[in-house]
Parts: sequence; structure tokens; C-alpha cells
Amino acid sequence: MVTVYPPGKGQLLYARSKVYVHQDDHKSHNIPGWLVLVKPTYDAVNLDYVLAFIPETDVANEDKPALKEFEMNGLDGSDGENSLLGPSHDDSNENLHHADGHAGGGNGGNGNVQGFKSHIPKITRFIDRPRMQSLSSFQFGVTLRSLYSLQLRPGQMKSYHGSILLFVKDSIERLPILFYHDSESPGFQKELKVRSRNFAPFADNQTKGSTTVLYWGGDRLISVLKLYSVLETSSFESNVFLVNPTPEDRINFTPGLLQDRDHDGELTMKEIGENINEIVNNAKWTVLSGLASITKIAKDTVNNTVNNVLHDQRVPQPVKKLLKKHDVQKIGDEFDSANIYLAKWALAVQEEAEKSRKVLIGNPYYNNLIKSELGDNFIQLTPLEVSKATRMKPLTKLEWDSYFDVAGCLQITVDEVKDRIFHSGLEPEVRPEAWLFLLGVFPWDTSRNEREQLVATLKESYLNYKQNWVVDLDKQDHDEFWKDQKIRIDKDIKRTDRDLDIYKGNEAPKDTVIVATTDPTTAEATTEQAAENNGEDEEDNEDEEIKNPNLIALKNILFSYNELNINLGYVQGMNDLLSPIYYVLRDEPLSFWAFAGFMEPMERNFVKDLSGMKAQMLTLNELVQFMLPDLYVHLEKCDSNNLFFLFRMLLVWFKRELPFEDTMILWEVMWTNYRSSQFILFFALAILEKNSRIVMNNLKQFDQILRYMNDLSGRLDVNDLLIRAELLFLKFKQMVQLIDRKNDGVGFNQLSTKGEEKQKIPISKELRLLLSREPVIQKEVERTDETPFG
Amino acid sequence: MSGSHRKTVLKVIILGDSGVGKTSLMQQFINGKFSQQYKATIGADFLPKDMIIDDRQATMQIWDTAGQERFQSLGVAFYRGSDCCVLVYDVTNTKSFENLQSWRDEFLIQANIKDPDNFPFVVIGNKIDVKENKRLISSKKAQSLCNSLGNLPYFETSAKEAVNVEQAFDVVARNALQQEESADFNDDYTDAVNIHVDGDNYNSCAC
Repeated sequence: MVTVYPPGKGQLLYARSKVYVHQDDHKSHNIPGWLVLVKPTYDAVNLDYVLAFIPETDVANEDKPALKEFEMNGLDGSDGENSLLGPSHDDSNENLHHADGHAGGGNGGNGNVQGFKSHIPKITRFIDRPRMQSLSSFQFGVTLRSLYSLQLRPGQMKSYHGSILLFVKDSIERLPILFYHDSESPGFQKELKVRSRNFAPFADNQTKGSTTVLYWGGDRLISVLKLYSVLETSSFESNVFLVNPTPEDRINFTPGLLQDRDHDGELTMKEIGENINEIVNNAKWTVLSGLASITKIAKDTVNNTVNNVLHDQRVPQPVKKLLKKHDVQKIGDEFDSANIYLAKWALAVQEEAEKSRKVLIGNPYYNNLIKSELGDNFIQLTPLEVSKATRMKPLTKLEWDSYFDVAGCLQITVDEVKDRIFHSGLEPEVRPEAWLFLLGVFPWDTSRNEREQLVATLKESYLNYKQNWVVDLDKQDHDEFWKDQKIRIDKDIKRTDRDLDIYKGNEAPKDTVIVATTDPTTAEATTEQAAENNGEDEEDNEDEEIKNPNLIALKNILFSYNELNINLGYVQGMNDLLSPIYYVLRDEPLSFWAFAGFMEPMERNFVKDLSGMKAQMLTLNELVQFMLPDLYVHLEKCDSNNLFFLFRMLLVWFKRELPFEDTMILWEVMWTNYRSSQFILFFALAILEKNSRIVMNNLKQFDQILRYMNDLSGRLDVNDLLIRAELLFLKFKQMVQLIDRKNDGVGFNQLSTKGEEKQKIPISKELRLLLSREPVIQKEVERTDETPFG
Repeated sequence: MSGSHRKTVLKVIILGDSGVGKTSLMQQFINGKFSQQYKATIGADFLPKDMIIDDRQATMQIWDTAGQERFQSLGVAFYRGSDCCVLVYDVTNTKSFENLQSWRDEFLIQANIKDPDNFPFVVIGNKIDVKENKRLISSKKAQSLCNSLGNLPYFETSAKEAVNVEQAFDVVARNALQQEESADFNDDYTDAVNIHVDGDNYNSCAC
């Protein structure tokens, strides 16, 4: 039997009216539409079928009767006599479902299971093939091939609508949640009637695990989908159905059962819940055994200092006044500056934290809003979310080269490149070139020719900066600042990644100059030293002069950077930022410029008053409140909500915690600014999120937490954390958008009910800035003769 | 050990200019090893070591800190509740010696020491393994500074060759223990949160 499909039309297999997308909680903003399953063409196989949401306003007039009729009469038959176009068409090789008697695509015709046939269309109706996405409306569709899973959330009590969430493969962006307004749907009303008359249940798949077992619209959808795909639910999350899962999906999906303790030795949530004692006993890192003996924890550290100062008779009145105001300007007075400044610094973090806390934590309006619009436990990353998001394979040289045309001009958009790098990182051989783009040395819109010229110019210009200090003997002899810098830089260069091959040892090369550089100074210096070095023992003496040419290059770059950026001076940690760049580029002048590019956004980490670090720690503090409120409350109890234990991580972007290779991946991902220029804070958030159970269950004091965090070194799984960081970012963004809509619209006033305090939630400037891809730049203040070193 | 015996924790902070060997001293004392490959310390970290001092069981918590001046503002978070402070300089580096006093003063302020005159400090001159001609600060000079600062105990060490490290920290431990006991006696109710370690119940301790 052949059915002729009208041009551009597909056949309805399921249609339900009054399914809504909720834009916000204001009813008039809800978008009513149809949820349909459509077989797009006659010869389409099951995997091609499209599940789509079509807003009512997008439905073509001629399709309206078809939809209505199908909703009322398309499926409901209890005998299934007219299985005109049952799923029996496509027993092709793509036939996926023999999971059980239920889901027989190929043998669908002989459904002898009660209720089965009632999900097969008994009338044939066509509508326009749904669009997969739309810029102008909320219309969207997804093929069964690309559908990863569905999550069903039956309505609870009488007040909430049941809803479904669709998760698409290879994408961690979420589709809008679809709410079934069953009471408004004529089709559902009819279903209910038939159901009560004839007690054969339509829903052989009542969602388990929910408190309600009431029949609702989502049940029918599942029954229908089971005809065309294998839906598998898991004991781990019974409301979630995997669509045509591969064996890998299944494994990922049941982390507690099949998966080993995951990659970096951390225990899964489930195990933690079950057996905390075992964890305590077996934990391999030393922290837990050390914990029992730690005591003497400073309580109210900051407040004490300030109170003491405030109550100290000797402290002059104006100083006390200043102290009470937390965002005081820097106090120049040498005499008292140290303690006041310090107390202020720490106090400010604490105070700001308390201020924002009142708004974010325990605010019923905020809590309800997130809950009703985004779902219970929206903020928590589920194992499902994490397991379905995978990172791509690092970008290969071949692929990278394919991005450029013959003239070496980029032929895809910058955003596309960054998207790719953000989600995968780079293969080592791509780095030397790609990093120069990422760090702003090469503009993206240049040709190869232009870049070659640029390199020549940059090398020359670097030499100028370098000459400034190399030839200035007066400076070298008499400038106290310069001399101080020399001592600092020398000291740190000698302890910069000396375990890496290129920085190991302190031998000058015999005659080949390892450094590919056109720089005469270096070349000269190395030959000279090579002569000197002959026969000397290899032991690395501390006050020995630096002879390893790569270390010399690092040193030259740091000195020259002082000529470029005259205010900052060398600060510990800058060597850590430079080392991987030089390691990758192996070229002194280019490394200099790449380092200067990296320092643009990083200068704020090193300014003298540490205000840039403070700002970031405060932002992270608010972010933790916003995204991990339970953990925040715990940290607060432990005097750790100032997040000082993350200082080192944020200062040098996890260089000390991650293996060298992973550091490079993390940094190139960060450099894209693809999601946020401050994505590093989401990475830190991901670490907190991943470890929050252990922290909350086991760690009770500041030093315990510091120790635990420091001990994470070497156990961080960078790819897993990047996935989590992105998920957290997307959730964060969604929450901010939700609250913004709320604050703009009339919806706000209507939501607050009864005695609940209406409190408009301002998204602070700092949090909002996290959505920006524009780097935050903060420069050191001008250096004068009076500026103390250090 | 009786069931309710308390284990004492002694918190010791190591301070001094960048590169004088703070991390090396800590590593030598705790792990008995030396490496040229320590990196400049950023932020702060600590290592615990169990000790027996005159039949008393104690855990020393040695806090290692960053030497660069601007990072000292973090100290406020890390110094609290210290029982002893070790001031380190490098015998080949005059400036690191000259800075000893300001390290001490800074510490007293930041750690909010109530009785500065009686708080135990120990001074260490490190890197005595270098050739004699490189040494810039004589024992005599150092000793006289320590006397003027209130008769502070003074040790000359080599973290590299494990000279005198054990001895220096033995005095650190004793002085810290004494300080801890007097602090306990003076203010029982402040920050002395002693954790019972008899059995597996530390989870149930209040924080």
C-alpha cells in the first residue's frame, strides 16, 4: 500500500495541543503550541522522525484541521484496526529496536500487547514538515537520531504542569522545557475519558520514582516514542529515558553501578552517600588522616583584627572612620598602613560576601523562581548531564590548516575557530601558530604574508625593548629598582619548571644555539658562556649564573617586559605564566609578545594592592552563593567563604595544580574567551562543585579545606572539569536571563504571593560581567620613586 | 594513651624574604629531603608532623608562605592561632637579614598577637653550606640582632645538607608547646578547638 505524501508535508504520528514554552512565570508570556511527532518523508526511517514543537501562531491554516483531527481521533482507537502506516514500513537495516516485545519497529504490525496498537495512527494526516529551528519563534524540532534523552517531570500536586526536557546529542545547550497544560487540551480530555471507560492503561510506562502516579500527557508521548525507538530508563534516574542508547551511553548513565571510581580517583556521589566511613578509611590522599589532629582554628579572624584596631585608643579617629568604610582608598601612610590595609583587604571580602549573601541565599523569591521555571535541583549537575557532554578530540594540524585558504587567510569565522578550540583544545603541533592568534600577536584577519612581515617587525621591536636595559649600564649599576628586579627575576628563573626537559640543567649548548632567535644578544651571550662552562660539573648551584639558553630567554623576556610595562615590575607567578609560552614557541621575541598579550588580562592578578585578585575572589564568592548555596553556607561555617584557599589557583590559572600538558589545554581554552573572559572562575566553580560533597561531609575548618584544596594538585581531570564548567556557565546564564526577564517585566509583581517578601533580585554588576567575553583589564598604578619594591 | 587524651596541635609559621629557603627548611624537617626544584611559593600551604616532646604527643603544623611582599596581605588569613614564628634569612643575602625585624613586626600585627613580648620567635640563618667567602652575615652580627630583638633563639642551618635543621625545629616545637599551654591557660574559650582523636568520631565534633 502506497501513501502519497503531499509536497513539503510529513505524516503525523503524534500530536498534542496546549503544550507550552514558559518564557517566564507570567502567564500571558507563555507560548502555546503543538508537540508533534512527524514522519517527514515516505521513505524516512525511524531515526529521521522529527519531534517538534510548533507554536500555535506558526501553524499553517491548512494544517490546523489536520492537527485537531489527529489529536482527537488519530491514536485513540483501542483496537488499532486501521494501522495504515504503522511503523512496519521501515524494517531497514537501521532498524534499532528489538529491545523488547514493545518496541518492535519491524514487527510493529503484530502488536499483541494490550494498549500497543492504540499508539499507532489510525488516520493519516499531513502537516508541513516542521522546522528544526527558527530565529523568529520558539519553533524547534529534533530528529530521533539526534535525541539523546528525555526527562519527564510529571506535574506535582495540582498546581504544576507536567513537563518534559529534551536533551540533544553533542550539544549541551538545552532546548526549552515543554509544559503540558493537560487540562486545556481536548485530546488529553478525551484520552482521560476513554481511559476511565476502558481501564486498559494507555500508559504502560508510568514514570517511576515520582510521587504522583496520575496519568498525564507525557505518558502518551513516551508510549508513542517507544514504537519508533528504544527508550531505556535507568535505575539511577528513573524519570529519564535514553533514546536508542549505545552501550557506552548505558555505562555512562549508571555511574554508581558500572563505572569505576572515576578517572581522577574521586568517588561518585552515590558511593559517597552510601559509605562515608569507607571513604575516610581508604582515601589515599593524606589530608584525611591529617585532619583528625588539626585544631586551633581562627574564628572571626578578620573581625577581630578590625575590632582591635577600632578599640585601640592609640589609633587615630580618622583611621577608625576609614576602617568602617570598606571601600576606602589606599592609605598612603607608611606608619599604620600595613595592618589597616591588610585588615581592610580581608574584611572587604568578608563584608561584600555578607552583603550579597542576604540577597542570594535563602531568598524565597529567588528560590521559587528557579524552581518553578527551571526545575527542582536545576543547579545541580546530574551525572546524566555530565556524561552526555563530551569534549572533542584536540584540533589537529590538518584541520587547523584547513581553516586557512591558500593565502593563509582565515576562511571560517573567528567565532567558529574559538568554538572549536574552546571545546577541544589543540594538538601540540598546532600550538605554536594558534597561540599567537589566541594571544593577540597575530590579528585573525591577516594573510600569511602579512604575518611574516609582522613577525619581522615584532622581532625588531622586541630587540629595542631589550636593548633598553642590556646597554644601559648606568641603570644596571645604579637603579635600585632595576637591581631589585634583577635579584627577584634571577631567583625565580632558577626555580621555574626545572623538571621540564628544556629548563633542566644549566649547561650552555656546545655550539648549536637551541633557541631559534635572531637576537644577537642571546646568541652572543650563549657562546661566551659555553666557553666558560666547559668541564664544569653539572650540579645546579644556586648562585651559579644562569647558562641554560632557555632560562636565559625567560630572563630576558621578563626584564624586557619591565621596559614595555614600566609600572608593574616582576611579581612571583609571572614566571609561571611565561614558561609554557616559551616552551611552545621556543622563540624569544615571539614569546615576549605572546607573554605581553597574556599579561593584558592577567595584570589585574599582580597589581600591588591585590585589588584585582580581590575583585575576582569576590565575584567567585558571589558565584558560589548563586550556584552552590549549600556549599557556601558550609564554607561560611568554616570561616572559609573568603575563598583564600583558591588564591594560588586563580593567580596563575592552575599552573601549580595541573600537569604541564593540562595547563596548556586549560589556558588555550581560556584564551578563546568563547563563553566568558572570566571562564577561569567557572573552572574554579567546577572544582568546588565536584568536591562539594566531600567538603561538606568531611571538612570543618579553614586549614582542613586549604589542605584539601592544595592536595587536589595532580588529581584534577581537566577535561571533566571543563565540561562541568561549561554546564555551570550555561546554567548560570539561564538563571541570569530568567531573573532579568523577571525584573524587567510585570511578572515580578505578580509572582510574589501571600506573606512572601518581595525582594527584587539584582544581578550584581560583577556577576553580570561574567557573561561578557570582553577581557577585564586592570593596570598597575603609576610607579614613582617612592613606590616600595615588591 | 587514655581514651580522652587530647592531642595538641602546634601551629608554626615560617616567614622571610623570597628565596631564603623557607620551603626547603620545611621539606627538610618534615620529609628529610632537599630538592633544587622547589618553585616559588604562592599563597600558603602547610604540612603536619607528629612529634613527641617530653612525653607529650603533638602535631606540628608547619606553614610555608610566599616571600614576596605584596602577598603578605594574605597573611591575615593564615597566621591566626600561631604558636611560634620562625624568621628565616639567607646568610649570603644582606637584605634578607635586614628585613628580619620587619617580618617580625608584620607578623605580630597580622596574627593579632596579644602579648607580643612573650610570643616565641626563632631566627634561622640558612644556607651555611655555601663557601665561606660568599657568606655576608657573620654569626656574631646575627646573634647580636637576636639579642636586641628580645633574646630570640638563633640557629644557623643548611636545609640542603640537613645541618642543624632538626635542632632548630626542636626548639621551635618546645617553645610552641609552651606558648600553646599558656594560651590555653589564658583564654580557654577563645580559639582552642581541640579535637578528640580517640576513635573514629572526629566527624561528630562541632566546628
